[in-house]
This record gives sequence, C-alpha cells and structure tokens, in this order.
Amino acid sequence: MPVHEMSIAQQIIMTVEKILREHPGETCKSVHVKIGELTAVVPESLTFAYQALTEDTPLASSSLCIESLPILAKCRSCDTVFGIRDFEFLCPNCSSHEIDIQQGEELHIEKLELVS
Amino acid sequence: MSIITIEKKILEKNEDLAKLNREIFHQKNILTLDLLSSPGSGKTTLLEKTLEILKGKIHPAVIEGDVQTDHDAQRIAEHQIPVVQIITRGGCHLDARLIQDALNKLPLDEIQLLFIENVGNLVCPAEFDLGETEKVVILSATEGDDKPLKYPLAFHKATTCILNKTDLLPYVEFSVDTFRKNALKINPALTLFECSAKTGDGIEAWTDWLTHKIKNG
Repeated sequence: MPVHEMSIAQQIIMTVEKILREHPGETCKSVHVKIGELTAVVPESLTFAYQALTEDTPLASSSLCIESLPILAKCRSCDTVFGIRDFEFLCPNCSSHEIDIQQGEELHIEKLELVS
Repeated sequence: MSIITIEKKILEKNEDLAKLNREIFHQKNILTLDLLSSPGSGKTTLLEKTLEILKGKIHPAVIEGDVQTDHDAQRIAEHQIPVVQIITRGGCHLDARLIQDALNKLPLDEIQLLFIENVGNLVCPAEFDLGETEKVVILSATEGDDKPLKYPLAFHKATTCILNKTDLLPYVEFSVDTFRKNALKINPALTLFECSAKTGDGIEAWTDWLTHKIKNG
C-alpha cells in the first residue's frame, strides 16, 4: 500500500490526542474524516494505517469513519455544476475546459465522538 | 457522550510549512520545480542534461529526495552546483518540513532555479505541497501511454509534463498521440515536452521554456 496514508493517519492521531488531553477522563469512540476523491488517499489503506498505529494505545477501541466525497466542478462558461467521472475535466454541457473544482480535494478531520 | 467538531485540514501543518517555503521562494525570486515520476523514468539524467545546457546562463540548485543512498546527489554535485540530499529512509514522499530543513543548507541568495527531485513514486508525492512554484511530472516511453489515466492526481496537479526516452519509441508499444490525449484529458492546461535526455533530442524546448520563465517571471 502507498505508505503516505501512514503519515496522514499519524496527523489524525496527533489531532485526536491533543483534543483528548483537553478532555481528561474521556475516551474517543470515533473519528470522522472527509476524503475527496481527488486526493491520493485510499480509504482502505487509511483505515489500515489508523488501526496499525493505534494498536495497544488508548485509541485502539476508536473507529475511523471515512466519508468519501465525489469530485464536483462548476463550469466558468455556463455555470453548470457537474460530477467528474473517469477524471475527465470537461463540462458535459458546453465542453469547456475552464472549470473550477468545488469538491473532491478535501482531506479534512470533521469531528470526534467522545465518551466518559 | 459528546461530539467535538474540529473541521480542519488533516495536513494543515504541512500546508503551513509549505506556505512559509513558498514565501521564501517568492522573496528570493527562485523558480522552484517539484519533479515527480516513477522510479527509473530518467529524472536524474534529464536533470544532468538540463544543468549542462543551463550552465553559465542560470544559477540552479538541486534538492535530491531518495529512499536510500546519495548516488543522485553525487551525480549532481559533479556539475559544481549546490545540492542537498534528503534520504527519507523508507518514506515514500518529501514533505514541506524536509524542504525547509534543506533550504537552510542552500545559498538562497545565489539561486534562480531550484529543482526538487522527489522520491520516485507517482502516488504519494502528489498529495504533499512543498511550497514549490510548480509540479512537473516526468514519464518515460517505456512506461506506457496510459500512465496519466493510472496516476491522475500527479498529472492533474502538475503544470508541465515531460515525456522522456523518446529515443526508445521505435522499440516499445507507446503512442505519443494517445499519451497526449490521456494527459490532456486529465489536465487540459498541461504544457507538454517530448525529449530524450540520453541523446539530447528535444531537450532545448524544455530548457528554453525554463530560461524564458526565469527571465520573464
């Protein structure tokens, strides 16, 4: 598996650990992240990396919930908002290449679920 | 049970450091190119040929990223230009902190053009902003004309693409037209070059482009 998911999982864990230090006595039940499809992150690899890195730690019982976001773009010429399939960056309405990516580049940590 | 809303970028730290690097490049007026490719595409040979042609015209420097060995840095050092080797020891990509550390070892006031030769890998390095001015993706004729479709993010994030080892085209199943079509499907704004770093064929279009970019900003 491409090992950069390890670096990304490490960053997620550091954020979660920092928040847990601010909430003594609580444990993390789940971590919710959003991953756009225009990133080089494979959700299965990220889940594997998270599990491997949290094994035998206080986060071992937490789960990583990944929401995949499809790629959406808006055409600058005709304002059509459309989904990009097969990485074809072309407006389906007017065939313009002048488009802006509106969704799909996310690599965001959204929220944590903590329990006492 | 409580829900803590965070809503932040996972790679925020890297992005903050990349921003600082970018500010340095901007202040010092350094064109910085992050070179991405698979292992064995001929990046270092292309870089050596490029340095030979630019010698005496432009002041370049190189940051070499490799999983192991400083072989590539030794090759570049023979051209009498500043070079810093980063050995990632298994790491599959360079990140903004590694570049920040390398910048401390370079004479930034004397550099106009900085090449960052990323770790040979077309997946992971595409995800990490180093603060570079642009990403350049390199592939060789032996890798197949469908490579842009297999590694779309690298081709999407790059502004420029170099097809290397064109001297091997008569011996391999590679359609330059199909390659161009695939690359431009992923990124219609991509600037394309075709060359052979070994024979030097086509390489001046690339070095002229670099010279023009440096002279005209």
